[in-house]
Amino acid sequence: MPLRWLGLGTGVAGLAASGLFGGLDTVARPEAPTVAVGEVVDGGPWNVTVTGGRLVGKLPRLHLRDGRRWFTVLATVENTADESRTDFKDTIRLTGVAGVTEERASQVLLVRDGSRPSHLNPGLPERLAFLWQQDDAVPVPTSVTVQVWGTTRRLDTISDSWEWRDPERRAEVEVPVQDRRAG
Amino acid sequence: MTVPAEDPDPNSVVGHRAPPGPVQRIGLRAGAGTLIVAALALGGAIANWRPVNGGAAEARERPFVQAGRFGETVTTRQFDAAVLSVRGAAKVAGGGQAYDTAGVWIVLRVRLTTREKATSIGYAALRDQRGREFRATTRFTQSLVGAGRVLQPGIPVEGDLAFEVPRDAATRLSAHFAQQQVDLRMDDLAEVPLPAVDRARVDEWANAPAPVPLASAAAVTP
Repeated sequence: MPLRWLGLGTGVAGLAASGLFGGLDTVARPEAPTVAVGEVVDGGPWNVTVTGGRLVGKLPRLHLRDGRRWFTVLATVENTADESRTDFKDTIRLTGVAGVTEERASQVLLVRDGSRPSHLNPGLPERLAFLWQQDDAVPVPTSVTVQVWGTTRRLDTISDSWEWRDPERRAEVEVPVQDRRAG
Repeated sequence: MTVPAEDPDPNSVVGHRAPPGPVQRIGLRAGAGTLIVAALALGGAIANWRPVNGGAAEARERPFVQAGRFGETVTTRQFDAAVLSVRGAAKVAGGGQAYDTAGVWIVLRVRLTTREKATSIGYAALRDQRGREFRATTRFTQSLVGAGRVLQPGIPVEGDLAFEVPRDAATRLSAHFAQQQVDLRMDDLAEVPLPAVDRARVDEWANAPAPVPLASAAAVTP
């Protein structure tokens, strides 16, 4: 019983101390600025420029489930780090788009030849197509809100090495959607 | 003569202290708690104390570099590597398709030989003078590196490896090879500086319209 009271007392004291320093205050989710289509967003370690949205039909070498269509966000992405990086797929996310269930794209292609790179090298901006499967029964949206995410390079306290951590929304882009399924 | 009582009042006995009352007990516990918190805070401060060179794990766990010369064999613990030639191109051709690039292609003719165990070479990259790393392209299959080809001990395998680099990085590069694909910490790393070229040569490569064919990996005579 004394131990229980000691634990309870410690918890209450911790909460009280936290409250003194604002630990119990309501924290508003930081709002990401809205930027225009074609504007560069420093995503860290990526410079991301969202250039458009498309609906497309079948694509070579990619499986599309029945009753689905490809929803595509086009963006130019440049690796600003010093090493080849694989996390460029995390830079673009979609939320609140009817008929799209995943935030992250299921496929990312190089627009130049449709290949699927596993990494991007520093200093070589590439135009990428981020692809989601969307329910074909949903009306075609006129525009969608695209989120650009980035990370911060900081010292990791566990590995004692400098790493890109703490993913966060860096910007939102209202992107017009063009229906290109016919051609 | 005074006869001591059988149950003396503790407060009346010199040198004895009365049991702590409720307020004293709370004080004792608060003191113990304060000491624990202080010890944790001190330990945390010591654990996070990096007076010099914070984040030194990268340097401490860096690969063991085995440097060699262009055209010669570099020997590491698990494999030998030699860079036999270097070319540049605006396009490369592999698998019946031509691939362009935002920068310039650097194509190395490489010979790799594992020493004792059958294994693949997971890491191949170029590095420029700014320390930037450019891994071998994955836009098409390159069977000489990655899990694609397992090298058998003592049998050299030769083939082309293609890398995309920015034009401003292409003048002075070094090639690097390691067995592990991702985690190079404390691994052997073969390093071969490539011959320097001037910017005019790089621009000539980047403006050449004809795709450079890539030679597939093939076993060669030791």
